[in-house]
Amino acid sequence: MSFSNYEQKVILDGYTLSGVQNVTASYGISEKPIRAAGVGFIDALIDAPLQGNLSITRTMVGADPFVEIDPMGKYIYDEREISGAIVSINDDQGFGFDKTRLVRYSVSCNIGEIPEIQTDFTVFGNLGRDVLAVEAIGKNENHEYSQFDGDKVFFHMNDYSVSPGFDLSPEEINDDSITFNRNKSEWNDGTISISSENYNSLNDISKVAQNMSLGGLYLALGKDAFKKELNFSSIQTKQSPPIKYPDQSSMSLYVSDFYIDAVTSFSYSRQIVLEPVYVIPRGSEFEWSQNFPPSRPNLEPIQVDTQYPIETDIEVTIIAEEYQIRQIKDRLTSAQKVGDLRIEIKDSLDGTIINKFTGKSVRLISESMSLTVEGEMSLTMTYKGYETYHNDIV
Amino acid sequence: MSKPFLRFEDAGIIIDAREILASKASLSISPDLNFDRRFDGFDPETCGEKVSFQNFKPNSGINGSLNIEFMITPDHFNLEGIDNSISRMFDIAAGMSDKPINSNIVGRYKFDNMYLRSFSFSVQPFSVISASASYDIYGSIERTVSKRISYNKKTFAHALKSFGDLTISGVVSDLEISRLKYEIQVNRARHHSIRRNEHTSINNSASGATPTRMSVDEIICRSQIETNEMVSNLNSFGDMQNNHFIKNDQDSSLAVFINSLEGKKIASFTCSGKIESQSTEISEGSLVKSVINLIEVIR
Repeated sequence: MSFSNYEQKVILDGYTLSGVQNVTASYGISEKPIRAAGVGFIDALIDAPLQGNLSITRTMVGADPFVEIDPMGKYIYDEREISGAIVSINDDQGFGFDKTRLVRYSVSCNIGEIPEIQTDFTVFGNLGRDVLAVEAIGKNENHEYSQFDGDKVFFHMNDYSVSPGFDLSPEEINDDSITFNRNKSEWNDGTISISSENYNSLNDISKVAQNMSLGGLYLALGKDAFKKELNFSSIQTKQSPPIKYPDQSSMSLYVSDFYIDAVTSFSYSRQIVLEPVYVIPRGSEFEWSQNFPPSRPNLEPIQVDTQYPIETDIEVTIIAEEYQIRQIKDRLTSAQKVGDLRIEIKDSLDGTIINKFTGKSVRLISESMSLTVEGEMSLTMTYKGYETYHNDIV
Repeated sequence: MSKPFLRFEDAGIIIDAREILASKASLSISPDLNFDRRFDGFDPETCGEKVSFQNFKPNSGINGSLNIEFMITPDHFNLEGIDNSISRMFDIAAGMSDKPINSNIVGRYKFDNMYLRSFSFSVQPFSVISASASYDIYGSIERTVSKRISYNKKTFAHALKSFGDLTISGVVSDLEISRLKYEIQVNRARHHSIRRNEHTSINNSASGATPTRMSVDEIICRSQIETNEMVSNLNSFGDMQNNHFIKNDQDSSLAVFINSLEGKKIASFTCSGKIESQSTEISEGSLVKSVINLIEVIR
């Protein structure tokens, strides 16, 4: 089944995201070529852990959960592991991902646009179909033997082959461990239940067979007798923020460098460098001797560390009015920090703040001037700030 | 156009008449030369003895070394269907043979009289496990036709399916192992029998005087374990002493179980002994990591 653009939802850390424009998800295997003297290339073998990437582009139509701040003033998603899924509107199809970390957050806006949020994530855990989904297995009402008038119904396990004319002793028929007998009325009523483990052990096809010696007619249920459904509704645990729209008059930028010059565009981005720590699988001699897999396969990182400082880059373009571009020598001799730079984006209706972005103790690191025959002279200033693990920079 | 330089793909490596899938091999041979300087009469200018250089002279027979880095495959450690039966190429054990490894070819050169000095491998997460072996060679080399290796589909030891088990002074450790290195080393004594190498005709052979026997003096196994923490309360005996009631003299041990990427068993190695040293390092840009070194005396 395909997903049309009207039938998709993106759920992250319990929130159903608003304003999603584009989602890209991918994963890749890193291989190392094996070459041997006298042979040359032999094979390419896996050489790094599997990691996925997720990129989401949204328009800012409400408070963004990913700029939530803790009581210490730190962005909580700098250190928090999240999970989520891209699901169909009915929550019954999709693919999920877990052990995911935010690696880049950026906001950009130009005159005449609603701000755009770009978030990139790295998936260190599992990514794919069924991940995070709750599985429900029920009767397939469209099955050929949906109503069965025979004598017995049992699970058609794949280690037990049923063929027409099969023969079972009375003891075997009554032994649940052999035939997985089930109540016929449960099957006919549709109340029959089966565990995932038993379902996975079923033969693909159901069969009806007659016991030659006892004369009974039996229905051996295979996988086709059941319908496996997934549900992602349980991962939507948080209330999404209400929809709010900013406009050009409800966005403010505060910096000590200039006051009245008109801002025509800005961008704000934070790059979070992560260091995943992987370790060697742990197991015992018993597991090795019995050909068991190790008890701790360690396929996922045991620790993912954020590398500090987190760099914040802010670029502001203004129509030059009072602002004077500095001389390079001035810049070299007095590369002063300009303090905090704040961008506030408010609701155009009631003026309440939708999102607020702060560059702490930023320094102006570059200026550029642009003149064209079609517009006013503009100046672009780039500021950089650093956020630390503790001991804030002042 | 002639091709005087040998290609990597044509430079097969054969040890003990068995083909090795090596990614790197370095062979070196060197005579052990000394300078023959002599007093040579009276020098009237200095009123002293004249000293003149006569010639070079060998201190001992020609010898060399071979170091190879290779991929571990099941057939290195599986003889006649028995797992972990390490073949003589990498055989370092208490009852190991003194006999030399012959019929060796590295690229265009063949040689005999080779003795294993060390075997090591390292394991790090998600990587192919590559091993190294070092050999001492006595005698010279001879040019031969280079061999291509007839490669059949092989499986390789891989950290994805291999695993380790660490016990510190008898207690199963919960330390996380981010990398480990296992090395086993043998030190040998060289023996030359009286009269065998005395005839001057021995100088007419390139290999010259070769040892009669290389006996095994000692075998030491070491493992280096990179972990998240050091062992607390390490005592002077190399054991963890966590109580004041009874002296703990239980060994620490590292077991490494090597499987191929397909999950096929290849070999297991154990280093069981004392903690020889441990260290920790705090460095800008990385996490704090510790290294624990275990030592076992096999002989």
